Amino acid sequence: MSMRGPARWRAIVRVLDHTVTFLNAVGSLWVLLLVILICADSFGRSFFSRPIDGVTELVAVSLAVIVFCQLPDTARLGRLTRSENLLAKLQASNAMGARLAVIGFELLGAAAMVAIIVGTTPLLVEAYTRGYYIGEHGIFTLPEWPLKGLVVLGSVACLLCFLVRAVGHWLLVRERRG
Amino acid sequence: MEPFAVGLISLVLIVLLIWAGCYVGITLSLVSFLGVWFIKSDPVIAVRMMTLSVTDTIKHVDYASIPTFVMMGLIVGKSGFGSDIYQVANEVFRRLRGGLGVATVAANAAFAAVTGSSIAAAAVFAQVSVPEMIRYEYSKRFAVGVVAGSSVLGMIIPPSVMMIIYAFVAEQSVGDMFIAGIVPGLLLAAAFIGAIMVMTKVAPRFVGPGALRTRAKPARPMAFGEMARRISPIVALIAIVLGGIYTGFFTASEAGATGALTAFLLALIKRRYGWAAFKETLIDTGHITANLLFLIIAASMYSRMLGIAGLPFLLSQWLGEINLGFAGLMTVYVVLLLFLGTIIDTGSIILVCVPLFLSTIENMGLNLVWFGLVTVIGAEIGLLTPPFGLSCFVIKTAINRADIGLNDIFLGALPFAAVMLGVLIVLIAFPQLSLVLL
Repeated sequence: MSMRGPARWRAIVRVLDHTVTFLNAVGSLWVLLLVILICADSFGRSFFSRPIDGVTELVAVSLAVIVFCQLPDTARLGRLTRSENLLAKLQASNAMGARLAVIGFELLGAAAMVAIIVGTTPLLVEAYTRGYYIGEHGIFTLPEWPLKGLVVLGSVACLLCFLVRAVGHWLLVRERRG
Repeated sequence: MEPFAVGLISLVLIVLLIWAGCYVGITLSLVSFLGVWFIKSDPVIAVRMMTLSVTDTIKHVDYASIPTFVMMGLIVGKSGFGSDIYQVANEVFRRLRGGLGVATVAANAAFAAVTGSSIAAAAVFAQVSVPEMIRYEYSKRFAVGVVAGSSVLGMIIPPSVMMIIYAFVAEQSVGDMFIAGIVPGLLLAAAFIGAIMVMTKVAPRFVGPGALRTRAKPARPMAFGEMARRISPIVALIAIVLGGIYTGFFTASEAGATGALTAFLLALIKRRYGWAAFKETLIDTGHITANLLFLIIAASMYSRMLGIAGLPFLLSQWLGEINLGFAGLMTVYVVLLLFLGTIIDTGSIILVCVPLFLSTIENMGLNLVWFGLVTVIGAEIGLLTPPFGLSCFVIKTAINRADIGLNDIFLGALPFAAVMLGVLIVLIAFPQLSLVLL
């Protein structure tokens, strides 16, 4: 649906697509890293009584960040969980109504993201200005602000994806009409 | 407005929006956000509630069991282990009437023990086992019905994504849920097999002429060594994952990670897995994980909102007052699950119902692990029933044949949905079946 509308709009959509795909790749590799770390930690603990310092903490703080790295791409491709049954039926009897409903749902998604952004941005600012870190000093530490930053960045990207999808559907509605 | 009323309106709104097709995670989070805002008349508190859910809900290593088990399931699904095990099961059950159907159930049960999703099972077995059954003159309805029915084993025999979701919503251990799922899962598989045997006796037209015959010995029967070679990857994975959790050697997320790594290595050895499949696995793992973890975050917002509205407490008080008793409560609960199964998907049912009933179940002194199994199985019946049965839709897409309609699949799956309900009643009546291995 990104291939509709004026040239400048399409360019904006393309930049967003690339950013979101990149964020998704970061999240995917992060998951792979966690799998390897968890295995190594468990292996080390069981066979050499030497767990890897900080793996448990790192995994715990990583998960929310991974979610927000991959949520935008999931939203962009329309792969977020929804029941499509009723929409499919509506599509058959009243295509315009179905499309308007879909636009409405994308906008609700955008609204939820706005609330998340409003809530998490102060946490990012606080983590950065006060220099918060994760882990125990001297064993394993990691500054917290890049993690919070990715959560905010991910939710902004997600917000934009919902808006782009809504606009895409709207352009389609106009095309059918005109 | 009364907090109670706001809670109730939010609840109805959530079910309606999910039904209408709004994203489930968005519905849960946004309505809960507005609900808290209305109850407290303060948007700041609502934002704080939402932020806390986002940052703190999944801040524990246990939640890593989701990406790891998802990854393991995807690798297993993409590397053809499912069709291997089906070939072996075919050979083993060759001399049975309805043997191909029995083989489908058995292969599904084994496949279910290494993947956490019914959808993967439905897609794989629709492609390998439906054509085989139709070739041997089983009726089309029966063929697709068996695949649909046995696909639910995917989410009941551990590892199971739905059990993980329940475990987090109800604050139970993922490992306990898995262990508790073993006996009920096997019981359900056995009941399916029993039902197939009975059907070949009492409903010959429904199963088709082929199911009434036993199959002749093939020209080149599969040697024992060949069988062992084909089932060894799945057996190894079951031993590592379930064995590891059962003996306490692994936590749930360690079992998932080790399972994913082992599946990856086995698939490489079998040369069934290339760079393209690996890339696809990583991307799909990401999308599914983001989806599931966001649902869990959203569900935590919802249960916070319910808590603030006082709904679970009032429900438990009210149910206590009308003196429903155990049988009455369970009847109401199962009917509710079945009803919701006709309008929303399995995951949403668990997310919506569990926070509501949790305190009632706790107050009655009932076991929450057992309650989880009842919930997961009850909600999964909806996978097979119209209008929404997701497994049936997946099969329709996967077989891609114009001569088998969605109606045929629903009708074929109906006896299996009935068997599921029967097993569910047995599990409710005998909680020790679920708790015996714990």
